[in-house]
Amino acid sequence: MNLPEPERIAALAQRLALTPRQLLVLAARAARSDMPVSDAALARDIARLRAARDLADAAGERMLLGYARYAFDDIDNGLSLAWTDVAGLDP
Amino acid sequence: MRGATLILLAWNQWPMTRRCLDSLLATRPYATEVVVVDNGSTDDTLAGLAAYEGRVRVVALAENLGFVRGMNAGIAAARADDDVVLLNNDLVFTQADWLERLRDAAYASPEHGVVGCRLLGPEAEGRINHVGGYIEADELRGQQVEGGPFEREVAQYTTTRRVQGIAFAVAYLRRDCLDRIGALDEAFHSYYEDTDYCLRAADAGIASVVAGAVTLRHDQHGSTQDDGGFRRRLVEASRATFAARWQARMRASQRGNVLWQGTTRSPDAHAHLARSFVRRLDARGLRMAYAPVALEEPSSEDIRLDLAARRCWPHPADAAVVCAQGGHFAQARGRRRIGIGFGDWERVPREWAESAATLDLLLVPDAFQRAAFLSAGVRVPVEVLAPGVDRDYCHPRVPAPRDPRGRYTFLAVVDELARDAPELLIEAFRAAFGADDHVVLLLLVRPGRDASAIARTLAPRRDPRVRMLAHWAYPWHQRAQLLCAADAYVSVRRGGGWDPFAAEALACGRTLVATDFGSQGALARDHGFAVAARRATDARTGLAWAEPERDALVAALRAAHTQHRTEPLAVLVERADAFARSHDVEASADQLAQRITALAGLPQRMPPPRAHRPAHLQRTPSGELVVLGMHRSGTSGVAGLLARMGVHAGPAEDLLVGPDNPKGHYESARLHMACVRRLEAAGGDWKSPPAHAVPVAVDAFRREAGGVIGQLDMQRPWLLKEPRLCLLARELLPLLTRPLFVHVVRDPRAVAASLVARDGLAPETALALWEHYTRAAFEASRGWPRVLVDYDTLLADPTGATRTLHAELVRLGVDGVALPPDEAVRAWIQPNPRSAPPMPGIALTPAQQALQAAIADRSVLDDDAASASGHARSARARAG
Repeated sequence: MNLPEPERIAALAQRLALTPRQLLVLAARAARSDMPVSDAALARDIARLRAARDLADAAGERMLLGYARYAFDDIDNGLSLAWTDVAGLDP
Repeated sequence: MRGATLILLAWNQWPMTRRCLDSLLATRPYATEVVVVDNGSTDDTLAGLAAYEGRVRVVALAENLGFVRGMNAGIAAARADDDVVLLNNDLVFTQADWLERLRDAAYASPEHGVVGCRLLGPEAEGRINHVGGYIEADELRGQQVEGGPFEREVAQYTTTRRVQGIAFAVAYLRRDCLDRIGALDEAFHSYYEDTDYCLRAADAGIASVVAGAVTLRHDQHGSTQDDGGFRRRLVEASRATFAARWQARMRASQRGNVLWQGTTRSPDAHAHLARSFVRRLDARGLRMAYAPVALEEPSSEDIRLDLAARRCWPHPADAAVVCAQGGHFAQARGRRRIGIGFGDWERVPREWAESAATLDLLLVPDAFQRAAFLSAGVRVPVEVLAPGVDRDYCHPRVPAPRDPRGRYTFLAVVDELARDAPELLIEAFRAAFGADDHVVLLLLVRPGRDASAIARTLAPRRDPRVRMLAHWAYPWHQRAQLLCAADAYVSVRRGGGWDPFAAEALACGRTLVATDFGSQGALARDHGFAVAARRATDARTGLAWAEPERDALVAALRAAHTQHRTEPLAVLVERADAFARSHDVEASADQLAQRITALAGLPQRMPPPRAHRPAHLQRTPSGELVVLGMHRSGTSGVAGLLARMGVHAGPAEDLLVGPDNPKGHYESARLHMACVRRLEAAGGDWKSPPAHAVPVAVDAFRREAGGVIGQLDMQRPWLLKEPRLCLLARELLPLLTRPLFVHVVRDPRAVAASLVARDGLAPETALALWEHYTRAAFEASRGWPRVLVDYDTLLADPTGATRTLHAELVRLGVDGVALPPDEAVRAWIQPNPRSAPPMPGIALTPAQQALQAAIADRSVLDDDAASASGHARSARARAG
């Protein structure tokens, strides 16, 4: 039996051990690529999201803003991210 | 000795009051009395205050009279002559020297009367709650900050500066201000009384300032929260009272409608100018409205810009300023039309020039851009308006997360792939530095049309030393954090358009590396490293721009890195501050406002009221005399003469006698040592006066000198005399009650000759010291009652000059002085046998000659002239 769409999304997030917002980030990253997403790239992104859950949730929050708005975040958060070796959300 | 009465107003919420009081007392405020006004609390407040007996005085009111009457009860209970400090009970005193720094700001200038401070909200990350603000005429909403609401603490507004108003959560009110305009107006119950007070002060020529060196924590509205609408009703009632008094006048002060047409988003440089200038023009009396030149979701991050975007404006406006790419100039919707523009090329596109033909005036940031428009055929007047830097946000002390490995960091910002040449920078960076070099390159790729393409292009070029922050948009007020996270800012681009980060990087003390082309070329040549470039063609437009030379870029990166290793930090900071002072956005805003005013035929701003001076008050001097004069100027002679008139110089056992003045100095040994220690603690001495006032040294001096003053106060009139007080007298003003300054002057060549003979100084050095001390002394006493005694005249005619001085003291109201017998005067006033005659061969500089002439004709005593320090008074007083 097919689940309703919201439940399918929630189930997919649960299966990947992600929150719905982290799943949103994952989908956005996949959508940005010009090429079909490989299983390996998807697995790598999922691992990165799991390793940086707070950052991924924050990124998801910002994506929920209106499309005409920039997502603002404090610059020292960005700098802290830039100085780490686990900056998982840059291209 | 007077001091300050700290008035803490409490109404219920005892735990909050207790927290406030405990933190306040823990700072051990000097020369103060703490008064807690209980505004009819019904909780444990009164009982709790009993435990503070001996440390605070309680004024208990029978019922809640509101903020204004409660504070006025405290002011009425304050010690006579004390300054007062109004304090909310929802404050937390997180800075030990808060009161001393408020005192510094209060007495930095004679017209300062109302002093506030920076306040942070209760948020853990530190949000700015108040830095001094303004009230606008339309909505009558008192704003607590000049920029945007809820800004993070990024060390903004840390200097002492004038503002329209301060919040009376913390308000230091000088006694002469209270004498002049009285206490708070009881037409208000709570709210708006502070803005009303500041506006009334301004009418009396008294400045409201914010001491940027003080930051406290404030749980705003903690005293009236959860009140079932009580606070809202108070605000509305006070707003109506305020509107009836001020709104029509505030509207009448607006000089014309000016429409800013531009962007708050992209391009970033144009948005930067909108944020820089709209609020500043509004603050200068131009009623600003804002309209975007293209569809955008407004992102002002600025209260006044938000207000401007909500305002309606008449069609056409008195003037329109189009700040956008040149094709938009023809959209100007004003009776007079001004464009602000810049491009990336040697010659701007032809359609820009055609669009510019509709303007009355085109403003450009520099000579390169002027040439670019003129060469495209623009015929309307083209003038340079340097955009300047915002010193309140961009300075070397902005906190920023640095690379934890401590590597030298180059920063570049990338918006457009072709224009900004990031691939060239990465390649040059790799070539410039080997694996052993301790360097890193940080690239910020801002959100925008090219962002994804930039990220894709650069991805293969990445290495561990190249860090990329992609798609990151941050609040505008934090931009200096980005710059201060780096050591060098690199603006090596093909396009020559104005880059706001270049000048701001210099103001932040960073090194600038930029292409020797376009708007950054001159800045890089004068203040940084200019990278040679050859002419190239922009493929998109077919116009000429520049291709930075790779080898030159490599050399510039290496040179920047090498320079960093050799340059002391203090030199870097001083250079940054000097650059910022000479490129101040406030001066640019003055220039722009003046051009708009002239072009549109708008009224000039009303001249400010005559500046307040304590000397104007009809209160007589209290009998506290401060004798000021350079070493070897006859200050001991005049102090001894005053002593013969009955002025108390202190206990005999405390007075110095030395070989260079065997008859006595009439100078307290304790005060002398306090002055010596004060200068030493700041890294100087009397021959090498320190350039800066070190706070801890000021505090120690105030306490030491305060002990002397406290002892002298038992017998008025009294005098303080020490030549070093020329440099330090201002620091004592918070402790002095209506002092009278007695300036002792002497032919500078005689002073110099005496210093040459006594101390072996070079004549030029001696004269320079005379000039420094003399200017500092007259600046310290500016605005206060003062008299001038010419020691050479006193020597020539001891009895006549003594009678003149005595008559002057009596005229000014000094009680207890008697004219000494002529024989006593003649016995005392005799040339010091150790004094040397004037050195006729010593040549005074033109500035020294001018100072000597001003002393001779007494114009040096003119309080409303430019200050004796030789600097014209600025609209924005700064310290620190």
